[in-house]
Amino acid sequence: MSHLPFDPLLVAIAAPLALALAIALGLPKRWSVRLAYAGFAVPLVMALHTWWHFSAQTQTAGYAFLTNYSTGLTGLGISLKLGLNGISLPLFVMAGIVGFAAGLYAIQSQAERLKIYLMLLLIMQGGLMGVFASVDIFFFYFFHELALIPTFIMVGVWGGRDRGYAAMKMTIYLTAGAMISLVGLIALYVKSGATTFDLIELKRYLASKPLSEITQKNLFAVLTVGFGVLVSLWPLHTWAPLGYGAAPSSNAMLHTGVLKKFGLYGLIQIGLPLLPAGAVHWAHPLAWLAVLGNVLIVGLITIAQRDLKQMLGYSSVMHMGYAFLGIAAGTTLGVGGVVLMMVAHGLSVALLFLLATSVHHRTHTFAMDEMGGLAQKTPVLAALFVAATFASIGLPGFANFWGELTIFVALWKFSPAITACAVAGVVISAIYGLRAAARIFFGPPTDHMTAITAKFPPADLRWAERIPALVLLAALLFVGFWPKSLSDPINAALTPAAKVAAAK
Amino acid sequence: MKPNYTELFAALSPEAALIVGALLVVVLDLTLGRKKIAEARWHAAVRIALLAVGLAGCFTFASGRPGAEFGGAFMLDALAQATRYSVLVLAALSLALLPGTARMRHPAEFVAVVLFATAGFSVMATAQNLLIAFLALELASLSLYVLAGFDKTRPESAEAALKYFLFGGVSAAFLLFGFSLLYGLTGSIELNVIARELGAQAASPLLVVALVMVLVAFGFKAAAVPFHLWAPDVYQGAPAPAAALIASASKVAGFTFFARLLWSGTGASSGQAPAWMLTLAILAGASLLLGNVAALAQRNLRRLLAYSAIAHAGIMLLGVMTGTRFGPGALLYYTFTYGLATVGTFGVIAIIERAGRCQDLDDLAGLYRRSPLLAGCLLMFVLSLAGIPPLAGFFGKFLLFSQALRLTGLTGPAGWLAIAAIALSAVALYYYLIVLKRAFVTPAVAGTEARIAVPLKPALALLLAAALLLALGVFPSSALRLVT
Repeated sequence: MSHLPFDPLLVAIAAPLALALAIALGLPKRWSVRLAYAGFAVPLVMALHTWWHFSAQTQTAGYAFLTNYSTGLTGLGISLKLGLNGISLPLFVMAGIVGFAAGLYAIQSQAERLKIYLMLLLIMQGGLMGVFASVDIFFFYFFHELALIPTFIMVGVWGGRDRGYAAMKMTIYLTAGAMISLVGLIALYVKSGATTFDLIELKRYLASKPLSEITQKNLFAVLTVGFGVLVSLWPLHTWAPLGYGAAPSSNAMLHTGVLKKFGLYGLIQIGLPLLPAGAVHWAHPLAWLAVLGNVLIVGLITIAQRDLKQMLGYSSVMHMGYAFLGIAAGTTLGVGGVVLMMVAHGLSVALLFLLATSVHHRTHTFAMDEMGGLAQKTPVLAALFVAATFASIGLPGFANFWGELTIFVALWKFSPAITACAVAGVVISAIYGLRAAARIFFGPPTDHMTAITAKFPPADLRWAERIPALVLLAALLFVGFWPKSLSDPINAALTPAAKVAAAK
Repeated sequence: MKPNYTELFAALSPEAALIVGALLVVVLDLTLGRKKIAEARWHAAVRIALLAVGLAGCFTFASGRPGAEFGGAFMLDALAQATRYSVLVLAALSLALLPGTARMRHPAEFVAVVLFATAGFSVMATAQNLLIAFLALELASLSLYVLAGFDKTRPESAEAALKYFLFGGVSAAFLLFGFSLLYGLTGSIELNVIARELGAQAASPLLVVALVMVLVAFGFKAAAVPFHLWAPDVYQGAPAPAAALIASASKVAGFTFFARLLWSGTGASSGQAPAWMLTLAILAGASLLLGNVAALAQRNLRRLLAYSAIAHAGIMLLGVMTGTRFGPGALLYYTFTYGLATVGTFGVIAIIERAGRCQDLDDLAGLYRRSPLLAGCLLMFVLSLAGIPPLAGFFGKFLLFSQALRLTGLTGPAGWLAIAAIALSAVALYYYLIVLKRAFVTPAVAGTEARIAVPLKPALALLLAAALLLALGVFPSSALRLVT
C-alpha cells in the first residue's frame, strides 16, 4: 500500500487546479509565484510516489491506486474513476517531470503578466495529470480539453512570430481533431451498449460481446483520424511546427512533450484493446502513411529548416511517425516500445525546447544560419544541448534508444520494407540534429553573432535554467540506463491486450 | 370542481411577487423618484426588482408541493420548478446589468416590463392548460416587444421592435389556430385530456394541420430556420439588456412550454415515434446548418450572436426530440447554461457600450488591455457557447448528443443530426475564436485605448454568471438533480 492518507492521483490533479483557481480569485503576485513552485512540485512528488509503490500495490484488472468518485451521473455511466495501469503510469510520471521542469522554467522566465501565465500553465498541468490518471473515458477527454484551452490563449497572447495565425490554426486543427475523436468515443459508447464510460467495465463487457468487425473497422478509422490530427499524423500535421514555432517555451514543452501524447495514449489504451479487428485492418495503411509521410517526407523537410524552433517542431512530428509504426505493429513489443518512446520523446523534446529558448535569449534569433561559436561562451548550455540532441537521435544510454530499438525490432516482423524506410529516418534525424548543434555552438561566429555578443555578452546558463534542464536530462538517463523500471509494468499491462490482437 | 383559491395563490405566489414588484417599481418611481436624477432612479428600480425576483425565488422554493394545481390548469412538477428557477436567475442577471449600462429614459417602465415578462415566462413554465399557456406566452411576448423598442433614440431599436412584433403576432395567430383545432379534435383545453383523447383516436389530417400550426409558432419562438428572420435584427437593434432577456430567459421558457406541449399533449398521438419528430428534425438540421454557416460571414458581433443562437436552437430542438425518452434534464440544462452564457455576453457588450460603440467585431479590439475583467468573462462565456470543457456548454452538448445517438442509433435521424451538430461545432468554434481573437490578440484602434470602468452590480452579475457556468460544468449533477 502507498500509506498515504489521501489519494495521490486526485491530489496530483487537484493541487495545480486549486492553485490556479486561487490565482484567478486574486492571490497576490508574490504569493502566486511562491506557491507555484508547490503547484508544480506536488504532481511530481505524487507521480514519483506512485512509480515507486506501483508494483507493491494491489491491482484490479491491471489498475493500481484505483478510486472512484461519484459525480451523480451514474445513470449515464460517468464517474470520476482514477487509477494507473502499466501504460498510464510511465506517462503520468513523465507528465509530472516535464510539468515540473516547464513550471520552473516559466517562473524564471520573467514573462509579461507572469501571474496569469503561471495560472494557465497550472491549469494545463492539472489537466495533463488528469488525462493519464483517468480510467473513465469521459474524464479522459474532459481533462484533455481542459489542458488544451490554455495552449490557445498562451500562444495567442504570449506567442512569438505569427502568433495570431498560429493560434487560430492550432485551435481549429486541434479542436476539429478532438471533435472527431469525441464522435468516435461516443459512438463506441453507444455501439457497445454497455452504458458505461468506465474503461475497465467496457473492456470486460466487450471481451464477452465484441463489436462486429465492420463496426470495429469504422470506429478505429474515426479514432485514428481524430487522434491522428492531435498527434500530427501526416498529412494532418501542418499545425504543429507552426504552433510550436510561435508558442512560448513552457507551453511548447508541455504541449509537444505531454499533451500531444494524448492521441497515441488513446489509441493504445482504448483503440487497441477494444477494437482489435479494426487495428489489424488499418495497420498497413497507417504504417505506410507514418513511414512515408511522417518519417521520410517530414524528416527531409526538417533537414531543410533554418529556424531552430521550427526544426524542433518538425522533428517532433517526425518522431510521432515511429509511434504510429509501433502501434501498427500491434505486438506487445511494438506497443511497449511506443509507450517507452512517448516517455523518452516527451522528456527530450521538452529539454530541447527549453534549451532553444535559452539559446534565443543569448543570440536574439532563432535563425541557425546567424549563430555559431556559442560553445566557448556558454559551455554548459552547449553540453546540455548536445546531450539532448543525442537523446533525440536515439543514442544508447538515453531512454529514446530503447523506445526506437524495440519499435524497430517489432516492426521487422510486421514488414521488413517499412522497417528499412524507418531506419533511414534515424540517419535523417542524426543529420538535422547534429547539424543544428554544430551550427549553433561550434564553428566561427557569424557577423550577426559577433555584433550581438558585442552588444549583449552572453552568460552561461543560470541555475534557474539549469535545474529544470538537469531534471529532464536525469530522467532521460535514468530510463536509458534502467529501462526495466518502466518496461516491466508496461509489459504486464500490454500482454493480455496484445494476445487478443494476435488471436484475431 | 370547486376552485380552491388559497391553493392557487400558494402555487402562483412567485408570479404574484413579480407583478407586485413591477407595480411597486412604477408607483415609487412616479411618486418618490420624480425629483431624483436618472442614475438614482435606475438604481432604485433595479434594487426593488431584484428584491422581487429574489422573493419569487423563495416562493418558488416554498411552493414546492408537486402535482397538478387548480383543477389541472397548472402543473408544478420538477420541470416547472427548475424552469422557474432558471428564468428567475436569468432575469435577475439581466436586471443587474441595467444600472449604468442603459442610457434610456423611463427606468421604472423598463424594469417593470422586464418583471412582467418574467412573470409571463414563469407561468409558461407551469401552464398545463392551452388557454393559460397562450395568455402567459402573450404576456411575455408583448413585454418583450416593448423592451426591444425601448431605446427611442436609435432607429434600429424601433425596427427591431416592429419586426419582432409582426413576426410574433403572426406566429401567435398560428398558435391560436392550432390550439383551436386541438380543442375541436378533443373537446378540451387541458393537456392531459388532450393527450388521452388523441391517443384514443386515429391520426387525422386535421391533427397534422394543428401540429403544423403549433410547430410554426414554436419555430418562431425558438428562432429556428425558416422562422428565424427576426432574430438578427432584434439582437442587433434591441437595447443590450433587452436582447439579453430575449436571448436567454425567453428561450428557456419557450422551450419548456413547447416541449411540454409536444411531449405530454401530443406525444402519445401516434405511438412510438410521434408525428412531429421528423418535422422537428428537419427544422433542427436546417437551423444548425444555416446558423453556423451564416455566422461565419458576420462582421457585426450581435448578428453573429443571433446566428449562433439559431444554431443553438437547432441543438435544443434535438433536445426536444431526445426528451421523449430521456426526460427533460438535458434540454433544460442546455437551455439554461446557454442562457447564462448569452446573458453574460450581452452584459459584456452592454458595459462596453457605455464607453463607446460595440456593434462590430472590431469594436472588441484590445479589450484585454482595456478591461481584463470583461475580457476574462467574455472568454468564459464564448468558450461555454463553443462547448469547451470544463464549462457548462460542453457538458450540455455532450449529454444531448450522447442521448441523441442512443435515441435512434447512429444511423437514425437523431443520430445523423447529432453527428452533424458535432461536426458543425468545429465550424462554430471558428467564429467564436474570431470574437476571442479580437478581444485578446488584436490591438485597440487608436483613440479607443482608454480603460473601461465596470460598475459594481454588472461586474458582480458577470462574475456570477461565469462562476455558475464553471460550477455547473464541473458539477453538472447538481443542476440535473433538480429536474429528475
